[in-house]
Amino acid sequence: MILIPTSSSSSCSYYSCCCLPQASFNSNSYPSNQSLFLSKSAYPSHQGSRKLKTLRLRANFWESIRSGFVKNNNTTQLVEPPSTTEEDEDTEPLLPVEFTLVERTLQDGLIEEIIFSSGGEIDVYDLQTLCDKVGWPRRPLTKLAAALKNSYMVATLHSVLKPSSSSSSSSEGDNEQQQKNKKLIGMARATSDHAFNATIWDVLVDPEYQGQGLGKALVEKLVRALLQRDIGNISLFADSQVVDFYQNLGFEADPEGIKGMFWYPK
Amino acid sequence: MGFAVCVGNASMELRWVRRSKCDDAPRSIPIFISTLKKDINLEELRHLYSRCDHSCDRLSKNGSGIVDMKKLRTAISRSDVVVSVFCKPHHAVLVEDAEEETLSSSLRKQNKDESSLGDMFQDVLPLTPSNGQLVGFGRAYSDYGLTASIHDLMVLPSLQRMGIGKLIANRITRLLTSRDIYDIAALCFEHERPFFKACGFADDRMGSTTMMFTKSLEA
Repeated sequence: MILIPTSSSSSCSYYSCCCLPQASFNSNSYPSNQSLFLSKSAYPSHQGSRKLKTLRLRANFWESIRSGFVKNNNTTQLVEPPSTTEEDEDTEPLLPVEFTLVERTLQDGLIEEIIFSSGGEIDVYDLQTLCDKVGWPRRPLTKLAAALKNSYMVATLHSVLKPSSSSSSSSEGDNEQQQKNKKLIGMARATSDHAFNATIWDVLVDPEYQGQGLGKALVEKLVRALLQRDIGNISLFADSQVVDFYQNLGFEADPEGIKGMFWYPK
Repeated sequence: MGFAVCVGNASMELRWVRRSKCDDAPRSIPIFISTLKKDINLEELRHLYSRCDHSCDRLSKNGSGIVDMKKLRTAISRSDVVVSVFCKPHHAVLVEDAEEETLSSSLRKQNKDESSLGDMFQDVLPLTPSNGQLVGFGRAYSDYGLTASIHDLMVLPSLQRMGIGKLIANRITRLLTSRDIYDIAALCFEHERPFFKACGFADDRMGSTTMMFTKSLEA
């Protein structure tokens, strides 16, 4: 056993008890007969705080012994906590925050704007309504909200109806009106490990607005943003009727024999 | 000794795996499973990637060679589940192919005589991530609500077929289902499919097609 020479001065005398190869450290009794190195001089009355200090020191002591004996522990850089990387990454937005994709005049004189946006708030109730419209099975709202919040990228399409005779400056009345006429008509999201892989889930467009290239725009923007971040493995799981849609966007089915498998509990 | 390995802790666990055939090598070896990111040494992990011949870029045309360190660090820090498996270094160095068998077994015998004390000491010391060698790994990222994707599940070739890969897969799925995530996907090559099948994975029951983006970035 390695001995740590104890100093004779009273200030460090309490460190001597950490040399003991004991697993459990009972503060209630300092059995001087068990210890080899305890100096029988002063045990100050405040034993509680001292116990904490000695335990901490003893842990380090054993760690150094263990690493010295076993192998040359070159502790190279461990994984940084995500907080530092987060600052680097989120300074520049991944997707354009908001811009108008399409603007057109409808039959009754109203102007319709299709607005693409990312990073905005999505009302989960609106999303569920949209999922119902496309015929998807219902999913719990809390899970939907959590999934949206923790996705790497979420892109949405909204349709805003404006009367053609509206003034250019936005008064409060107009804004409120716009809020009421703002309708969620499309969404796509992607999860990722921010470095190598990303998976695109939940691409959907309101059936009334399909066939106009809106879904294509959604996916294209997502893919472009992912590639700009040097994320090379972009995958998705397409229903049979949309395989051609994704093929036209540059996706390949089962490339190099890669397939996705899903976990099913027995 | 109470301070060495917290056996009861949810994030770390000591286990034994056994191999079906045993020549000179011990029949069962202890392994240490950790789900903590701080137990991962990135250099060791990168070494494991190359030892397992596993590339982070799944499609061969995307990238090649050694894993980028900065990206690996980001990927690990952004993965929601990581599982690492360690074993004692002298267990990891095992016969890899038949040609080297005679040479390495004679070496082992030699080493046994010379460093038997060292081996004995190694056997007695408790296995921890800091004194063990990384031999198995797996990670997954999710959206904490609905879906998760498993990637980079690998085990050192010389220690395969001992159940380590299955342990890793089960640990990942258990962690995910404990967070109420049941839509768990794993991308795999053709030769990896039997393994995933044995771990409880199957083709999508809804019949979806796996697709990956293969076009290069347009100017």
